[in-house]
Amino acid sequence: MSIEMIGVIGVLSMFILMALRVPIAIAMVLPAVVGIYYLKGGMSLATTIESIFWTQSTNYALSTIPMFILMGEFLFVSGVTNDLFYTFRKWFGHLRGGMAIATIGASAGFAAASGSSIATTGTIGVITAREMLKAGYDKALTGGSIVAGGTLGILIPPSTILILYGMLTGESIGKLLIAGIIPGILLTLLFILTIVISVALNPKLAPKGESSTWKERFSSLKYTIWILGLFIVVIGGMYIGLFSPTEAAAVGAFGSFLIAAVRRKMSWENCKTSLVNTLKSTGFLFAIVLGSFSLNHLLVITHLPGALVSFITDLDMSKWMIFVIIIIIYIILGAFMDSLSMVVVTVPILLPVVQSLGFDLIWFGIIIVLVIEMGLITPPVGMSCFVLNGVVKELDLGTIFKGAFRFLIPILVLVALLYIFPNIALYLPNKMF
Amino acid sequence: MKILEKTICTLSDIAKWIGMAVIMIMMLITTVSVVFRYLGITFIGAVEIVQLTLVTAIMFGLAYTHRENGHISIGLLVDHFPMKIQYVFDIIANVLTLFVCLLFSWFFFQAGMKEVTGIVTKTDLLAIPKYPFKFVISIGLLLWGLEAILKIVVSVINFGKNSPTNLQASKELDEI
Repeated sequence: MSIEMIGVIGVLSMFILMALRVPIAIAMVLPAVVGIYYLKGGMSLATTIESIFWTQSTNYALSTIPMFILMGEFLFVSGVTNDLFYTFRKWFGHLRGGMAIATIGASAGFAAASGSSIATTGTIGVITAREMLKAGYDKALTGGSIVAGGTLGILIPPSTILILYGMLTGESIGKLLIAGIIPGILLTLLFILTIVISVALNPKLAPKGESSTWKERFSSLKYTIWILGLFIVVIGGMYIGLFSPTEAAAVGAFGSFLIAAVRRKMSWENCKTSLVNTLKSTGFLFAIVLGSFSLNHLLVITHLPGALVSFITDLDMSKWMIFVIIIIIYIILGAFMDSLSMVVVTVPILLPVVQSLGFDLIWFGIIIVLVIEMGLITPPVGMSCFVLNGVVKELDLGTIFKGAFRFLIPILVLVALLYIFPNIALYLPNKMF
Repeated sequence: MKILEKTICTLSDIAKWIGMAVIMIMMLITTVSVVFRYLGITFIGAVEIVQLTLVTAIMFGLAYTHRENGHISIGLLVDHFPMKIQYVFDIIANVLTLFVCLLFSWFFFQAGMKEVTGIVTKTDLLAIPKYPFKFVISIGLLLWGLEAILKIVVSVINFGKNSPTNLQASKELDEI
């Protein structure tokens, strides 16, 4: 048996274990344990695991993850999310489909404080779904716009997925986060355009809402000051070089703690809930990270990524064709795997291929996030749809998936735009201090 | 059995509270170091403290996450099986988790002991010994394994009774 074949068996075993409902972290670690033991022996296994776990668990750059999670948790308990929807509703509520537009706007706003699509979908869904249904919005449009807006959580900085991607590829986490800004804004606008076109073609989807005076609209802007201010300090500070990503995340968490305190929402109970949720998210995220690094070690010692590069190079296909194949692979995987595991499993394998094709790794990170977003809103896994169905029982899964389908188009459009104009993602990182 | 459950839960809870505290410390230390930098004061060793708090938060969060079913798994296939079969898969998943946790916990216990009885490695600036944190990793993984044992017991009980698998361990164990 060739050494590469051991790597292939390792990857296949991981998929089998995952399918058998074994926790993803364990599904990645077990083949690594068996493979490393088989190839290098018990002593080497102990040293390797010790080295991987110690290095990654004490990785200063990775403290960005719990800090950004904490920032989102504190902001959630501060209640600013409700205010965001209120503001967007004042501005767009009078339009046909205006509440769906406000949902996308509020999601983009919340995404600027949260690095998770699941958190964004759950939070915004609870606030907006019943309001939209009460106003007579089509159920599919309601569900679709909420889950689509939720996907912005992993694109607009901070983004947990981009931080992990940066760690796996060795790219600058700061640049990756900044790279998500313009595509995030563009995708927000494309989602809004999708709603506008949908309701123009079928006015029955959404009624017109109440109009607000200009005074009310401008007055409502005061509610966005908290998140806008925090975003400017955290992301702006990182962009102009005031803070490293880790420092930006900690300052952001502290800032959101103060916001909740000023708004008299930082009770002991809220503080405890925020910390417990952060601890839980840290636990599962890092378990997967450590599992991923263990499996990657097996892949490296079995030379599997190198063999994959040779195989793809021998196919003699154009760069464009390989790009399309990679996207299709991600779309298929997205149907069966959640976003986090997809990144940690595929990136180390595909990284040498992507590098050999000459793609910019920061640009590719944004592409990956966009494709993962599609996985979040398509069946059968479609995690965001399950989350929305969990918090808003009136929206059944089938309806949410149906409604989400139309929002795949803007994501694909943005992927195409990014392929043609890579600077959409690279302009800001290239100008960073 | 009740004693076992109570002991494991108490230990996990202690770990949880330590984990929560160090997350708060991590935030404060990093923020203070930024403020100090702009005031022209050097906060020596802030990075090292954050690194050590990070490893503590991660390892002490693992067991609680497992108790709350927070570790992601994909139920696409198994969710469609009859409940009895699902319990069997839950038992298999938790036995594998237990095996990995105990093995890795042992690795880190040995690594810690090696330093205690030999050369102690320390952090560069503050000269904090690293071995206590190797024991932290060992304890964190051990607690995760212990939580897996509780889940195994619950699944075995459920297998016998054909009751829902997502019941809290405590409720099930109370009946033993």
